[in-house]
Amino acid sequence: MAVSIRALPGRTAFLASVGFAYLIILAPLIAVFWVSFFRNKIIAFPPQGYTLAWFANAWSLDDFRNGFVLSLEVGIIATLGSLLIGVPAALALARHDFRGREAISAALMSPLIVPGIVAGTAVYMFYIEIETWTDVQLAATLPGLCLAHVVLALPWTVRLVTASLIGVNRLVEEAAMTLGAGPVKTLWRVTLPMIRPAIVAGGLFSFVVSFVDLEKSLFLVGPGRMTLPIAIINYLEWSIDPTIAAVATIQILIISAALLLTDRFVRLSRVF
Amino acid sequence: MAKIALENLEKRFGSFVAVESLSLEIADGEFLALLGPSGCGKTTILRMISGLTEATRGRIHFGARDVTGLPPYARNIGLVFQGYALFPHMTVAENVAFGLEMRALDRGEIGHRVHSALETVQLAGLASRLPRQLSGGQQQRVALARAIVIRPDALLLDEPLSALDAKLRQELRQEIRRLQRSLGITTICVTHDQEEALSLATRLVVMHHGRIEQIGTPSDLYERPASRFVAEFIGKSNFLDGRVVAKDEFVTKSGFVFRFQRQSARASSHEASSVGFRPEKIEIGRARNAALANHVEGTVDAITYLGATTEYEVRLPSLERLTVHAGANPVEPIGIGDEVTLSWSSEATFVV
Repeated sequence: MAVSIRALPGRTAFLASVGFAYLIILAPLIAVFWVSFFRNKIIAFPPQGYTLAWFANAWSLDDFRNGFVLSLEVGIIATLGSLLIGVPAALALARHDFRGREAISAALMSPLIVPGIVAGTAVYMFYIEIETWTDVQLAATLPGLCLAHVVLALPWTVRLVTASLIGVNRLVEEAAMTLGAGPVKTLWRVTLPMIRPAIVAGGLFSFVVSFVDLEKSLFLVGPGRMTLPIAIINYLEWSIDPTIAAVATIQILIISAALLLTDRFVRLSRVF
Repeated sequence: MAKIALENLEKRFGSFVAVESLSLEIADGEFLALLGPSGCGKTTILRMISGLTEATRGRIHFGARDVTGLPPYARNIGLVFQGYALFPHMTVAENVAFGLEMRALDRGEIGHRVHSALETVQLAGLASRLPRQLSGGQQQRVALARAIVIRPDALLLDEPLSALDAKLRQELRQEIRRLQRSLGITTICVTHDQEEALSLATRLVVMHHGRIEQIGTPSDLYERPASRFVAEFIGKSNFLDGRVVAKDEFVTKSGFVFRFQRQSARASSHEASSVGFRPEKIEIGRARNAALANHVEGTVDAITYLGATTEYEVRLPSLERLTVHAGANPVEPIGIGDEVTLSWSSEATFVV
């Protein structure tokens, strides 16, 4: 008994700090969610009533609708590209020792370090250079935008898959080989299934990172085209009605859905 | 199933020689144990036979087939890893079926063989479990079933029982033995556990620093060790330093004269060597047993009760110590500080 009484203050403090952390994380999300239903003409407290009109308004605006579709499109392509390049890259980095290994690893990680606005400018200038030399236009095109987003998403896939590969017991792969599986079959039937949680998580993060990116996309979208974050920024320049909260709510719901869906297939807590 | 022949097999890692020019033949259906302390090269040999490690030099034959240059997946071997290395994402049945699927057998045949392999290792009821839902002993059986179901030319076991507790180890030892006999499969088992090697194998190879120290049956190694290393590694022994003075006579540095019958090839006469005898071959009592050739007197220093036997530490007048294992119920009670006479035969005495 004495132990539990003594432990009580510690436990209370623990629960309080956990509660506080959750509050800080969730309060802005809840606020945005709440505001999106306000009848007020500008975002302000207290609410003068509730309406779904802002959701209808968001959908009726071409910028948001097209931006949403474009962001979805780019996000999916970035995810696929990030996995197609990132998984083999992680395999090479985790399993082989070759010249320039450290350099390649650092290059793949660099999008995490370089500020997005700088990277966006750099990629834009790079595309213009390419166009000058080869006549291939990348700036202001969908392929150019997707390519930049693949680079943006790569560090997540590479880091997660590499970490997972390091934890894989090599003897299990050797067991497959002694049982008659060649290198390709071993990879396909044993290695990849063993790192599946990391691959799924890498894909998820790639999608989210691409879906919410603003800085890079600003430089790379074509004239008149915009991703959802760009549409939000543009709209904010002229109006501060709750439409913006409605759009953000939809964005939050989509990402939450992606997280929950992923968690059904692989326990995300097992990846981290 | 086939005879396995290793010819001048060698493995170097940089300048380190892990296995030095080793030649060995394992007969069809034989159960051979590679025994030695860690780092003696025994696992490297197993990995070279399986193809997971490339040999620096030498050749490996399975029957008439030269497999030296073949990758592991083309060798047809069953390897049971230390720690089992089961596929964590596959059920027990899928684990066992894997090797058969790689051989592109038809589904009916695979199902049939998986079922019978699981029955052989008494796991038929657990076919749909995942490895992490099994106990250590059950995982071991799955690894065994996975290795034998492909009907390999050779079954290779790498410290197969080291992760299990003592009771389970004994049980599985019996099972491996029975399985190996009924399948008649050529088997090589790597272990550092002498008890495991002695009880499983029909022939043992004792390794030391990448070289073969001695090859023989369990009783060969125990009764006629070829070197002090073998005598010390397998069972317990008493040793006294000295030299051979006649065909069957050894004089210790402290002046005792012992008669012996076995002398290893390496211990040549008149050079410094050791005389050895096993603790359980010694009779301990107040009077000498005149029927035995060797005698020495001393004082009991310590007594340890071990259940089936009792261990006596006996100090000789020369201050050397001998260990004696005697039955737990001696004819005459012996206590610490008692003067005793130790007697043992010349057959039980070897020079290394």
